[in-house]
Amino acid sequence: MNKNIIKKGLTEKIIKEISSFKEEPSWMLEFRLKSFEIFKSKPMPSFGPSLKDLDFDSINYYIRPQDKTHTKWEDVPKNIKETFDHLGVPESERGFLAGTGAQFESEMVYHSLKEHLIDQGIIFESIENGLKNHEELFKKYFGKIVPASDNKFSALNSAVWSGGSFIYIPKGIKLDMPLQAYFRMNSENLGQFERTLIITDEDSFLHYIEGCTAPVYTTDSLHSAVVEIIAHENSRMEYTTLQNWSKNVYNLVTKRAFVKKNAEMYWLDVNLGSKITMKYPAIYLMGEKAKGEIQSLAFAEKGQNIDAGAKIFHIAKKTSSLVLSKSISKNGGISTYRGITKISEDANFSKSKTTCDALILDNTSISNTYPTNDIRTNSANFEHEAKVSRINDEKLHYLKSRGINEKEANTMMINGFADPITKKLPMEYAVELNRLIELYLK
Amino acid sequence: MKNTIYIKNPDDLKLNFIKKNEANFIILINENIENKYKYTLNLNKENTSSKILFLIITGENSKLDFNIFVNHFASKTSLDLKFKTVLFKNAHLNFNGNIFVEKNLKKIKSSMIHQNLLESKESKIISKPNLEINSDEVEINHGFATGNFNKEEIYYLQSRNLSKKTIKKELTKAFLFKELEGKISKELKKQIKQDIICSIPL
Amino acid sequence: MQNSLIIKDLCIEIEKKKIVENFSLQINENETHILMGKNGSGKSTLINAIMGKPELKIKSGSIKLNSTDISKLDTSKRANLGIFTSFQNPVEVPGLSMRNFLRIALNSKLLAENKNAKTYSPLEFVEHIYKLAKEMNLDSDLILRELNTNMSGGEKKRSEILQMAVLNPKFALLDEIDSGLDIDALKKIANTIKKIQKKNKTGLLIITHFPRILKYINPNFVHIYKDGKIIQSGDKKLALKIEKEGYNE
Repeated sequence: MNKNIIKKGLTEKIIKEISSFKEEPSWMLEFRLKSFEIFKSKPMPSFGPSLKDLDFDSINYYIRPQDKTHTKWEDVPKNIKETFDHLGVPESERGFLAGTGAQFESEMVYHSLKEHLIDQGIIFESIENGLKNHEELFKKYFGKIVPASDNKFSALNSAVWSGGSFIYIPKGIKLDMPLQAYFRMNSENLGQFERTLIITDEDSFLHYIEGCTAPVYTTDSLHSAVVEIIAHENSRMEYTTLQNWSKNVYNLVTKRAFVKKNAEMYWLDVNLGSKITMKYPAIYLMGEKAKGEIQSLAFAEKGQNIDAGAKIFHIAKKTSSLVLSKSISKNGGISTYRGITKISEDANFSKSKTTCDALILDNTSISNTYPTNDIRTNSANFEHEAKVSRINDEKLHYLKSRGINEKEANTMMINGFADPITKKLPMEYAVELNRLIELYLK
Repeated sequence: MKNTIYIKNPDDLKLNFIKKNEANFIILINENIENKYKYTLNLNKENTSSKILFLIITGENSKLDFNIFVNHFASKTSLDLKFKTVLFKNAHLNFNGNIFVEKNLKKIKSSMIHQNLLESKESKIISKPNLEINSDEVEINHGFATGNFNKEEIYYLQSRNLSKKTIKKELTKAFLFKELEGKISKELKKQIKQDIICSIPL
Repeated sequence: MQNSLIIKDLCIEIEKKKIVENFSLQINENETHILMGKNGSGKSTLINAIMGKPELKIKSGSIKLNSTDISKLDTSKRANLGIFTSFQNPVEVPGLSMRNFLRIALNSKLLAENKNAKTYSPLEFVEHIYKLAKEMNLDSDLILRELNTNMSGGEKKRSEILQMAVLNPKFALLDEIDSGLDIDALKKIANTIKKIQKKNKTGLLIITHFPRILKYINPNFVHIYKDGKIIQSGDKKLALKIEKEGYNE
């Protein structure tokens, strides 16, 4: 293989190379190839921001780690460097986040953590190792929660997935500290086509955090990830995402969780950055008394179109769900909530509440709300409310009457607006997020 | 007192609000058929406002499709829409709503509130209430709630000897009548109440 | 030099309607002025105009703090100069903690007075505010809450006074601080106001249409407000007369 040719565009040949380099079993290669066919035949989504500038033929679908070239620090955009400064990101991490290839010491952190986990029977591996070392378990769930045929981008991911996490929490194990994708940071994690599969067995508990508030600078323009989660009976799964892609990235993600009897799934999503984001975390409440919660916070700035939402399906009875979506658009940014709540005939005595709160900061920005409420049983209680407004003048005046200047008062109001969601983040993230909000408002 | 206009079962309505003192509307839908309704409400001139109350009562084999478009094209406009629906038996309601606010407008207030009672296991609602907001000086509010008759209330009335059928009738009346408090004439109130009572398919 | 707030011939319009007309008043430091008048006569408008609320147009007249004309200044600048307002219906700002809010407000004031002033860190401020609450005989329960959120009328008034204590104002305009409070609460708040005044030599303008507060705060001046201006001034006796006879003379 000629190292100097970086192949663009996607062909069967490239997929075979990917699979062979990863030393995958033949069924996985078949899966990838089939997915590729599906990708080619599926149309682009009929809703949401226009993806017409996305050129599939100009994307690098797979670069072997040894072939990967690194950006020079001088070429990293000024605003990214400024954000690193503002957030106080340590020198050792800046290079890594900016793709300049500086080594990151997470390997050591990861290894000592790993021993502690292995003792409890917990599996926390890269997705490739998950397949290699735990094939049976892997095969049981992989592609079953988000099938390749779900949409064009899940098909693409299914064909070229690389990097991501595979996690299994055994029965009864309640992990007291969050697992972070950060621990296993390597260039593949920041890859474009991550695939994550998480299984929480009965009675277990896991909190998983991915991403970081620091901006990730990449010249790759497409980030199309898939996250599959299955929460078995009585387990509880919390998945927190904080993403701040650079403003050239198309961030198109399919995330879905199946929740069994009495189990709980909680998605917490903070979306910053990217040029276009299309992300609709989904929860299928499949067993009695299953619970689902989706909380998201999105900031849309100039040149950005953030199309995010929540999909909740009440399939079994006595299930309950809660959605809180907060968005802020400024400077011509477009922020859209797109969601669906479906309560089926069998989901008797279920409860669901959705709250959409949108803040528009100026008159060039846009806020859209497209909810679909499909209620097919009368024994369910369903509520949806949506509000769109700008910063309340009266409240602003009140803060100013206490000597706080306009800029600062605006920042406080926005922090207050985002507070219900930011207060659920682990402290370090919340502090960083507040700093980012300051930058966002500059 | 603002004028109130009462309309029954309009298929198609296009209202352009242009006067400063526009009337309020009460619209009753009580047909038991398969039907499509399209309502376009345009606020074209500054300083216009209105309130519209939709009372929807429908029953067996009914399939009602509503498409409602609210367009704010001028500043200082406000529209307050409230939908109160009671679906009996296997009635099926499809609702598509859109509130659109044009760019560069100031002082816009728009609200669309739905309260829905589903009487039977077979009743169904699918609703898509959309908001497309392109200005910032706005207060936009949208609410949608579905549920059944309150169990506590049913139990209480049963303990007072009322049959389930009578109870549902009374609770439906209470649910809809309470929207009629306020500034409408006695005669109109009486007429609407009578129409509601006749519409209850029990 | 004594501090003084001088309002001269102030005319305020809202949407072309005259609300305040040729209003004049001088409040010196340490003085307590009571402004009484019927409900809806425009007293709150007056306070909001002194504070610089955007919708209120000053048609003519001036508002001077010492020799500085503040009538064109932004609200936050007026507050930084030492004017505090306690509002009749304080707005709620959920998601904003009292501690954070007050710390930033106090720091803003300190920096406005001196660019190099030492400001409070979150930890330092928490210490400071608990100490202050004790000193001013204020309940500290509100400190842990979100700004005015889910507070009863009485709690909101206490929140206003807590803010006043933190900001050490030169002048305080209190709009109906007594409404909605029971006797015990009123006594306590009146005591705190007196303590704040003593500490800072604050000039007070207390708006009320109900002279109950006079039992606990001794005014230097009582003014009767009608038709946009002061029609009569006197001392405590005037207030007691109004209580007996009402506003129609």
